[in-house]
Amino acid sequence: VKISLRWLRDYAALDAPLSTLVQALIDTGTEVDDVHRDAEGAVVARINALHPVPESKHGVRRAEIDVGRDAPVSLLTAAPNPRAGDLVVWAPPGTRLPGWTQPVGVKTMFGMESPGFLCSAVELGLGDDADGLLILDRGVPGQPASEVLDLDAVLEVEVTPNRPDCLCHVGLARELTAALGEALTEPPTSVPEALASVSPVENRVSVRVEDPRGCPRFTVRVIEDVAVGPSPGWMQRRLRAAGIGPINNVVDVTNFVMLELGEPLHAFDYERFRQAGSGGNAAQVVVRRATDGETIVDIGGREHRLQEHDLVVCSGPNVVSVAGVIGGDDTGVVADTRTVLLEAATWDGPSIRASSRRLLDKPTDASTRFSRGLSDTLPPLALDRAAALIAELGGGRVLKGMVDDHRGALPPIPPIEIADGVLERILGCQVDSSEAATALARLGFSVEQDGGALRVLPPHFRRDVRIPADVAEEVGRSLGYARVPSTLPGRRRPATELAPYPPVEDRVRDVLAGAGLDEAITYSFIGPADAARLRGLGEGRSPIPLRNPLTDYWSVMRTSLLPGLCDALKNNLNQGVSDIALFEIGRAFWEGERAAPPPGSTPDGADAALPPLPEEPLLLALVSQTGDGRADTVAARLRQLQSVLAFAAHDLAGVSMTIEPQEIPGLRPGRSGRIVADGAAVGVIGELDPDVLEGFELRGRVAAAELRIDGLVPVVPPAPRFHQPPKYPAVQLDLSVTVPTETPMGAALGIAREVAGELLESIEDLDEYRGEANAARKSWTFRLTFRAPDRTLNRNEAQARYDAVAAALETRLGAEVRR
Amino acid sequence: MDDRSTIRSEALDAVANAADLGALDAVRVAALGKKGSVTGLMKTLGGLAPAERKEFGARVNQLKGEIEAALETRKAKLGASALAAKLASETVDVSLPTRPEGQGTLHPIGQVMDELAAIFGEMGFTWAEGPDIEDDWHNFTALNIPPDHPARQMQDTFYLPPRADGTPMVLRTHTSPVQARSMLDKKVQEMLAGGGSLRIIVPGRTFRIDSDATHTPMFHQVEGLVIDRTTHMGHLKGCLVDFCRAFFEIDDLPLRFRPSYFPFTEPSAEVDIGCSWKDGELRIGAGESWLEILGSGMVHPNVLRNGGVDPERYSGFAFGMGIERIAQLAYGIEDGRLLFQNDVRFIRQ
Repeated sequence: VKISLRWLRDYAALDAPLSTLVQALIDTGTEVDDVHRDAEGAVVARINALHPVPESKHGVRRAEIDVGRDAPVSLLTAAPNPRAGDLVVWAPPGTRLPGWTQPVGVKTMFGMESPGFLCSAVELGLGDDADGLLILDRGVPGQPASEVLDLDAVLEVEVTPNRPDCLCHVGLARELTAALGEALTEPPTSVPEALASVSPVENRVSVRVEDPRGCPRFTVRVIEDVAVGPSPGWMQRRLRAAGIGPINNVVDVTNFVMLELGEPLHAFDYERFRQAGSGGNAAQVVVRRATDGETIVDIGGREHRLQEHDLVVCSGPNVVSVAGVIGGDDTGVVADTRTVLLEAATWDGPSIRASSRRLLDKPTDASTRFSRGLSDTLPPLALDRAAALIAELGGGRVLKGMVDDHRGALPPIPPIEIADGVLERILGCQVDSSEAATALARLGFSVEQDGGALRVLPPHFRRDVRIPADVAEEVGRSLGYARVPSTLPGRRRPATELAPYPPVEDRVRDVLAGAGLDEAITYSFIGPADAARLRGLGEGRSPIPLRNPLTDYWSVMRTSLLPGLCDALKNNLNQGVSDIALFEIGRAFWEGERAAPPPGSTPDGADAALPPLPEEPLLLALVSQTGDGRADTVAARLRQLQSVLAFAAHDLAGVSMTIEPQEIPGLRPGRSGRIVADGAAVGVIGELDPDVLEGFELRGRVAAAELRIDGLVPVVPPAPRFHQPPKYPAVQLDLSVTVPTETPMGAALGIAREVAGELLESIEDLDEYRGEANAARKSWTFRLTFRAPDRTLNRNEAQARYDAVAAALETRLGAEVRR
Repeated sequence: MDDRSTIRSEALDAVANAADLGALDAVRVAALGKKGSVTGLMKTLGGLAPAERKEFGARVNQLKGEIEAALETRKAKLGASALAAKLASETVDVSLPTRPEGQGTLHPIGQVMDELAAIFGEMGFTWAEGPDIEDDWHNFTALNIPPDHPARQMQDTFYLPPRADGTPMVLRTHTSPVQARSMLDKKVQEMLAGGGSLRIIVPGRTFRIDSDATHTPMFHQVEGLVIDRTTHMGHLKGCLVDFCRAFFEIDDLPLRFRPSYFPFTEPSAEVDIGCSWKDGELRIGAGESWLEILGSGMVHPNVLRNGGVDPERYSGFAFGMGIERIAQLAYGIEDGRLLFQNDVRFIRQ
């Protein structure tokens, strides 16, 4: 909300410097986003000389002014009153004047440049005299105008949702006086005798609240013989400072009282209201929930369809306004209104919020306040304050009494017992109970002190204060959190490690970055088309949709990390960066039930766990793009990904990983496979299909892999074990074979391990060669290392195993062994 | 006599003039080899009278020794210059600009997380996690956010299709649901009953409907929770003061605890760190300005109760911070959206 400094000073002295006031608000929990001083930059100027402008028909003169600089400034003014030697206020270009939307500029008139503006009292927000310049009685040219004039300042204040009482000037004046130890003078909230009529209001209006929970209190007064017209300058200035444009003296009063006391009011034209009903002599106010399909036309002429949870105010059977949200067009105050029906009510906050969200493009001043839930003590106070002001400004009389339906009275706020020592226990600092009592009293609380114990009764506008911790906060913020000494909790280690630190995936990240891949973080939601195009490990699962996505592009939960990484690749390619490798570790979201519910799924006191959550597998995905489009380059990338994954899996989990060639949707046939670890399929790897590349607008070729790591990597990493280096020498034998071109090497390696048995320590692939002469065959060279753990291996023994491997490759793979 | 002195001067000159080790060896052979000049002198020894033979022999031997010594000296010298020449021919210009090695980079978010984890790990915190897709009980109700609270509005929260029994499902709007999950964890209940304390930090992805230069619809938070038998705001302050000073590596970094409001803490405080602005550039440390970086407070008794923890016997504090914001501050990143565009030119910085 916008808060005017001069307005605040109606209720308290608050003569400390502005910076002190701002600091006091911040220190007690009210954020101040911005401070605008009216006419900041304006300076005192002395008029040296005035020269008529002959071309002007309206007496415009050229003024030469001394603004404390070396050279005088020359500008035009139409004001009749200044004389040479007068001290005036000059607003140089760029100055913001109260109520102006644009800063002051440089004008060109009569062929002359006129920089800035000489100000009248109106332009400085100081008075109603617009006819001439404000002539100062003191000041030195060049001196800031704020030093010689009581210019207003507007604070943009952010109030936390628990404090609707601070959305007004009296509320913030209370906070300030409490913080600074000043006295607060609240505005009068009764109708003075002189403005009251003897005629009882009950003869003119009745109120029936049909939904006391939706409307805990509804109060009305009637003011007659009102002359609608502009409100006085002081009120218009107040409203403008707070960002509300003046309309007429009745509507302005309702806005003024809202900004003063925090209670929004609504003013009806009594006659128009009565006529909108079923036509009795007295107005019948009925408050109820709307029925589906009822309509209302707002002041802008727009029709709204209502739903049954909207709270409405009716004249007899007919809706005239939606509570706190929309005022009807045909019952509002107009120029010839004579009798005003004034309403102040308490509404159920959530109901107002729901209606406001549905019916309004953005919340109004009234709906914002009602949504947060206001005190039900406030309406009669605000009603009387407003009725008296309308009568005073519009020359009318307030009918005797008010009609007040308070059957839905909110439960009273119970007193809070604060045992001795409780405040210290929460705040961690010494709190004297008398000191606490004083601080609370300044904020409007009633406090009874009994030794060190306190019995605290919050004021009606503090329904947010319920428990000792709430009181501790009030005391803490009053005394200042700076007073709480910083202490460290004892360094006790928890008895149980809840999760290992650092998490296992951290080490995976280090391995991958070490291998030259850059880490990406992509969104958890993706577009449905991207999700369908490349399913990765999420193959066969339909993505969980968002019910209220921000855009279609982010509308389903990812089932694979690969689409996001492809999008990241595209971003890089569009920036001209090619040949990059990215990885991401993150969760995908798979519909259905997760195997084990996460801890804490059963709320305390409930018998059964809440319904199961979808599975969130932790995936590792990698992509590696090559710009040259060559098959062998991308094959090398694929090989690199494979090696990195194998290393990561082995290093971190002690798992040996193999890849079984297989067709995988989205990957190129013949260049894809399934990653198998300990017999279980845990991932996919391959080169992206050309269609997929095109769909993601990727150039070049891309190797990709995706692996589920939460199952693969043990929660607690295996303790490293020491292995004795081999004591006996090894026998190394090289084996060269040719095989049909389509033979996967994995098959050959598998056969070799199977046939050679335990003596085969390792098999290394030295070379793969495809001759141009024979496209049907390719040749491999392997190095087989044999070793026995307990003796020096006999060369013949190794040779026998070697021969067995060679024979098996010949019979099972159609290999020819080159001897 | 003449022969000897000629041979001597010729041999010593040749040694001195030998340009490299090969030439020197040729000199050695010419003087001391089988057919060498000195060897030739030795051979004349047999034709001399026995009286002369002794003296002549001694002189030739002396000459031989002299030439050998000269050869050695020269050889050492030539060897040193040969090595020097070899070294000279193999120099490396060590001032060449370095080339980036094939090392990848961790995302800045991950780097900040690692640092936070290390600092809180030092303070005895362990790591806890929870699901990204939450039921509304854990995300809201358990945290003292009643059904009609504004935070639950569709405008702020991403909703997913409800479960079969009608339970609304959301993308968690904060990491705070893990508060209830941790407190309700059987292991934790046993730990608390056994006199232990709960100290966790919870990193993770969070989601809110928001997208502009300072907000992305997905962001990361780290939540901290401490539950013990006697915790108060002094502990909260001590813990966060220590953390901020360690993280920003400024020993006297001023902190300001400003009263605020969160439904799940009471009292609540926002935490600002001191900073200053110079020529549009932010400097963290004592200065004229403050920068908000954390939300915190004493755990609301209702939240403890929902977590199965008796607020009469235990109290706690909690805090939360946005990792993007911290990363932006730590690395001077102005537009937070850059963090998820994964431009490697950005990540590699």
